Amino acid sequence: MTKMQIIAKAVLIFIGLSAIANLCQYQCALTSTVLYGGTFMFRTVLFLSVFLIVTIAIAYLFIFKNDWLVYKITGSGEKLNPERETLWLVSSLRMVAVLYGFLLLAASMPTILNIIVSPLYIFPLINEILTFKTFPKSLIFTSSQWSYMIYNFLKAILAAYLLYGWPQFIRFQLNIRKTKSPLNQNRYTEGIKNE
Amino acid sequence: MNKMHTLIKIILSAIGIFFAIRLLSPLSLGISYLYSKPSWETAGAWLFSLLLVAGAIGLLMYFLVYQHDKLTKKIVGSEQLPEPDSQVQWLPVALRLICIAGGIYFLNTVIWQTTFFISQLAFFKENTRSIYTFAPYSPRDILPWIIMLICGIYLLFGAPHFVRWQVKKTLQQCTTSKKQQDEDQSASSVEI
Repeated sequence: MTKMQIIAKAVLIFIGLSAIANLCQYQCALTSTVLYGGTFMFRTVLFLSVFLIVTIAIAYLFIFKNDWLVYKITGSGEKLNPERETLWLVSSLRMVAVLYGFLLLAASMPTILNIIVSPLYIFPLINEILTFKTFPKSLIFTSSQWSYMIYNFLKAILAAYLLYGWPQFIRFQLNIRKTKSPLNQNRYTEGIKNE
Repeated sequence: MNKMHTLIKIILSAIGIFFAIRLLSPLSLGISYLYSKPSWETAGAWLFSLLLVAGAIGLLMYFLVYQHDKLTKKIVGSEQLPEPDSQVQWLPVALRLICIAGGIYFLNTVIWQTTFFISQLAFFKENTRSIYTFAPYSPRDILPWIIMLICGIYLLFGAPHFVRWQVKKTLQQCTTSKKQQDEDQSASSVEI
């Protein structure tokens, strides 16, 4: 890969991440409508499935299998040696992860604090359930509240994971590159010839 | 001055201008308040918020656009560096820049929240007129913004511990990958 291709890959992943986060927010609003029921349910389910397909397509094309798009955007150029290529790829992907992690962290700070202080609220509630054998009213949430709570929780986890450096994804990208390296391709073609 | 310094100056200026424009975006809402003949409390709160935003924009422009030389030297670490030919030199610098951008984003959010908080206080004071004494915000609501302010200041100073940890992890991952590659190569040579 060239330097430009690696930069393009990082930018595409950033765009993909932000698109998925925004789409998930819309999905969250739509899910609360579905759970609420009503006359527009069929239309909402249709929209929801379209949003879901678009989200999966973006995740696949922009984040996991974006090489064809990268080659279309940048074309060919002088390739880096494997050592420098690894360094460039790991660094640029990690920078994208940290940058988007900060953006998500700013949005999910209240959620993180709620998660941290949740044991203070959970134990009295459990006590209440065990003592009075009734479900506390403070735990009854509307469908909209549930969907937003799940969305915020997932967003907070993603922020923490991205700030940790997104190691699994970077390893996955390195493995993809390894399978495409000339050495492995030669081995593959030799194997076919032998067969 | 080398290529790295010039590039960082450009990025810092871009960050400064971007966040200054971002801070200005609620101005239209504030002007619309003035047309609705607000009370003294609302007008005062609006004026205070405006001063806060203007101060933040002034600081941003001063440090990131006019005085970016000093900041650039601090980010790069030394005044004169050889032309960077390896990613290792760029990595901490780029991460530091990302941290600064993240810090400004955090502080930007805190400023917005503060102006909103001030307007809410003014609104309650205007509408309740000492009938109710409760505040529109509890300490639990304000706590995230205080933590965000602290995080923002830490990031604005370049987050040295975080950057060091990230660089260490990145280099570790590269070394592991190289080892694996070497093992694969040696395995393939044995096969041949």
